[in-house]
Amino acid sequence: MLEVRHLSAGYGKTEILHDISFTAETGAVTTIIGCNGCGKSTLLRAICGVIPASAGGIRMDGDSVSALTRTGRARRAAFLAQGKNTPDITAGRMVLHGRFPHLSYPRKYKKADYEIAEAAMARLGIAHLADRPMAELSGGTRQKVYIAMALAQCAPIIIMDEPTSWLDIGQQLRFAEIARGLADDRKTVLLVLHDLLLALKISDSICVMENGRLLIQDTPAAILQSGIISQIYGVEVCRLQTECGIQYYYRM
Amino acid sequence: MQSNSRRFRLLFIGAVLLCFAAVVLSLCLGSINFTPAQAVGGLLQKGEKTGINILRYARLPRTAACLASGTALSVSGAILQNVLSNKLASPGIIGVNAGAGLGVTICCALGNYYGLAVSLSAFLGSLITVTLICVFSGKTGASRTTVILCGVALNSILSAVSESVTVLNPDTAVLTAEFRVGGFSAVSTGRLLPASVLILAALLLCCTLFNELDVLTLGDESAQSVGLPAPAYRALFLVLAALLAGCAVSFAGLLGFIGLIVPHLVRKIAGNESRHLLPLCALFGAAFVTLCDLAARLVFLPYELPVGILMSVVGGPVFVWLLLRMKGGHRDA
Repeated sequence: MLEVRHLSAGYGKTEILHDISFTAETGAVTTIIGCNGCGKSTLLRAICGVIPASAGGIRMDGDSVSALTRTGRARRAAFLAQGKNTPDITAGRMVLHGRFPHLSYPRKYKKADYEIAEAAMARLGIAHLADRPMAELSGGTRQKVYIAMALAQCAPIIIMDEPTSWLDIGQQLRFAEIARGLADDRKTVLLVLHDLLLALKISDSICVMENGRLLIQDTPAAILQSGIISQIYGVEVCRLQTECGIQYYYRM
Repeated sequence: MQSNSRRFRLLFIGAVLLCFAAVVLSLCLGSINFTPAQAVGGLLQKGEKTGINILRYARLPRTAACLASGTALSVSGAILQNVLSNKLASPGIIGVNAGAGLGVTICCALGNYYGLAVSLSAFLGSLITVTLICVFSGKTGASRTTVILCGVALNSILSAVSESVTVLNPDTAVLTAEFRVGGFSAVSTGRLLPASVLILAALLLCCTLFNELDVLTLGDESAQSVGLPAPAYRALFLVLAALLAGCAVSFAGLLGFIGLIVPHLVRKIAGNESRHLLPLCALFGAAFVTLCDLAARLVFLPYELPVGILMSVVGGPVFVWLLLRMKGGHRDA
């Protein structure tokens, strides 16, 4: 479980996040939504320790992150950042680096680490690409490699910033299944998504942000009913019960 | 993943054999030629014969200097390229060598011509240069190309300061033209030994940090998300790169291109993973410099060229050829 309490953070002296509190439950998919520039990615960076918090606290499975080492934090939470370098290494090696927090100096990967990395790639359907250089892969396939790297980290909390960017619609739906599968495996899944319909479809809980503040955290149905989506996005989203379950669509 | 390891093993064995062949040739060939058996016998014998003296006091230190400088500059170049995420970075191009050269010049101007003081001055000069480049790129958010241009500018400034010190202080006349282009004809064990110890220590430390170097290339956010304190490790690698380049410059002079050419060649044949890249850069770099020095000694017998000149003549066109062949090479700039 991930608990964020009264968190404020920013870059230098500029505070971007103001007094944010929410909880991402174990075994659930929690998604943060909001317009561009509202502070979603900054919030994830603050949670993962990439930028320091100026106030408030974060607890991972009950422990305050301020008491955890950087490696200890990485063992608790895997973070898939939004903007990523494309290193000149193979996809297999890239995924293997997800095991990095589990090593101690001098860090050398063991047989078990290779097996976990291979299993993570197999789960994403990219095991056959292990020897391919990252630079030769398409944007979507590369994104799958990054996701596999986060899975190989075997952290109880998985945090992903825009994981479906670069993925085609089929791959996005496949990712939705993976996210749900991770939650079913008792992982805490925290996502930032721009695709509202996907967020409503796969999430157990949704946090809505605006101008660095958290406006509301609730279930997708309650968020939809509150009217806050049309308030901040200026679009109307409708809910429809179908034979395939509940579906969401935009009303033009 | 296994096919990569098999390929690396073959390349590693090939590089070791190439290095061995370069060492044998470097010891045996020159103004006086020896057979391998004579060379080994000469090195093991006691006595004061001319041949033995040539082997022991000229060929052996010279070959050791070639191996040490080739290894150090190649590995330093590979580290700089990874840490600065820029494949055009190398100690010669971004001014690290020039900083080390200024350190040596100032050290000589202060009356210290040999020993650990020269190596440490070179290290300090290269470290200050690397720090300046990092501060500049960090403060301004400079692009990769700008970082290189900044290094080129620093290179010119530092070379100009070195020249000024040499002109104003006659004591630094010991820094001959060969030092400024790089060469081994006057290599001294007084400079070579302390520098080699530092180079060996830096290489051993590098060998325990392959994965850290690779994780650093994933970018700060990704590196920190897997528990690597990126700024601290970036600083550590820059210190190691500066130490390697500085120590090499302290006895070999301002050798150019080696830190650029060798890592590029190795990347092309062995990929970019540090666990393969750094050991192969060390071996191929050592062999490359030793063979270039051998050629510089033999081509114009009885005269010899400073090896730095030969390297620039060979290295420049090879680098351009590599750039032209590099598919999508513009992405790296």
